[in-house]
Amino acid sequence: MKSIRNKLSLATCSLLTTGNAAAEAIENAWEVDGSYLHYSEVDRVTVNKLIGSAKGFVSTKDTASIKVVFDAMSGATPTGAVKNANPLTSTGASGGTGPVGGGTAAPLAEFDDTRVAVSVDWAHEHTRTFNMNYNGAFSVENDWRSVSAAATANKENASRSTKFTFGAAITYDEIWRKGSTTTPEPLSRVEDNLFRGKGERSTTDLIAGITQVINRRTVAQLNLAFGIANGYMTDPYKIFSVVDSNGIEWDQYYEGRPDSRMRWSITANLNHQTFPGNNNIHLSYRYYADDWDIKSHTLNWKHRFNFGKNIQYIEPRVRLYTQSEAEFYQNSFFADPTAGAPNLPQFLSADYRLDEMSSATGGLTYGIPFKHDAELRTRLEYMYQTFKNSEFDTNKAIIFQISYGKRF
Amino acid sequence: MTRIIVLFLLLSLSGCGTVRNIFIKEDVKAWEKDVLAQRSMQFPQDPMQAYADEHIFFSKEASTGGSGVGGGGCGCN
Repeated sequence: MKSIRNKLSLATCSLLTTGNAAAEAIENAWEVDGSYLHYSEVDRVTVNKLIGSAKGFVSTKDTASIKVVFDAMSGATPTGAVKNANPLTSTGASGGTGPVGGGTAAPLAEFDDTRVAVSVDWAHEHTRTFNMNYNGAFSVENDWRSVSAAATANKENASRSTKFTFGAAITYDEIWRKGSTTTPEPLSRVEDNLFRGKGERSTTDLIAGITQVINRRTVAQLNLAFGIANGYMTDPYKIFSVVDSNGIEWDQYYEGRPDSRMRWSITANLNHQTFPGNNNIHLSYRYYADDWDIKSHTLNWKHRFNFGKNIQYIEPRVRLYTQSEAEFYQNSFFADPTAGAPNLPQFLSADYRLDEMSSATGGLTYGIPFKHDAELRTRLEYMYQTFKNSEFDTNKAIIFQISYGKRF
Repeated sequence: MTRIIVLFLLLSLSGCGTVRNIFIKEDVKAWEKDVLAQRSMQFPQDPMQAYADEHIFFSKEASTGGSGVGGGGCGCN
């Protein structure tokens, strides 16, 4: 009887608000989620991630939640040098210990790093149609530290079929090389060992969104996001090769990026439940651009097939991504070795993530509910990236995640 | 790649038997919101998966953002 009453209550409540929905208040006071992620690239990076979160009502109008994340990252990652680089002069990677390989081996650098992050949210329902969410987050690695604060306002119309969202966040980051408190002088010669203090960066992010109920089985969302970052944007481990006319490296320099970055994006999301099949379709598209001249398109599609008496599901997913290269990206820098020191541009990076690239990710998620409002979800996906100019023209990864959630 | 994305988007919509139903606007009364209340109809559908995805793609691509603000970041890019 209680279950029926709860379901009736759910059906008569507003359902737009996702965070502290009144509907959830009626049915469940607390919920916990735990997740393990294994990410493994072929011959490159491996990440093991643990996520734990708890959320609950601390009063009839207040919701508190906490998320704790632990990451262990290791493996090898490209330094930015060309493949015929001299490994003795290569730099490390994030949390790195130095180069690997030799002779004409690929210029990969081994690294080993851990990350701990804590994020706390507090949501308060001011009126039936207006609530605020406040977030504070802290994250630390062996070579990086970040603290952020955010506030998001959600306002619904009287019928609660339309929700407007406005959010702002500020983030302060500190960056240094593992085992020191320094960063290399941007665009300095690796052999010269020129270092300076920690890098600092401050970022402001804004978001404005509208979520609209289209009909009984469809809800859509449109988000506009804008961000501006100032400070140290360079990767303190990345280098680039200076090459001769045959593409042979004859020197190495630390990369240097602009000290500001302005980004904006528009994201459209759509959720639909089919009739009479009661399966779920999720579509999202994001267009992104920034003043580093990077433009990208991201398309994400999921189709959830529900089946069985207790509504298990299988969910195929495809994500397609494409981006243009940053205006200062170069795989290497050509200069005549007999002409003295190269005349470098103001900014230069050979980081493969700033290259023109395409990426496809596909896989399956399986979900099964258990008694007493618990659910297990597991997914297996494959990611394939191709790069236009980078030394490593592909990157392949397996993604496995298992999550368990329970509401009390 | 852009062409593939556009083609994929069109196929996704045209291949969907309920495409007409998706875009029919109707007033939804409070007592008709049972489907909309389901977890699978929320943004994001699976917060744990969305959080992990954000980390993965942020560290492997140059783009980020669009789903919200706050929550911290990482030094992986």
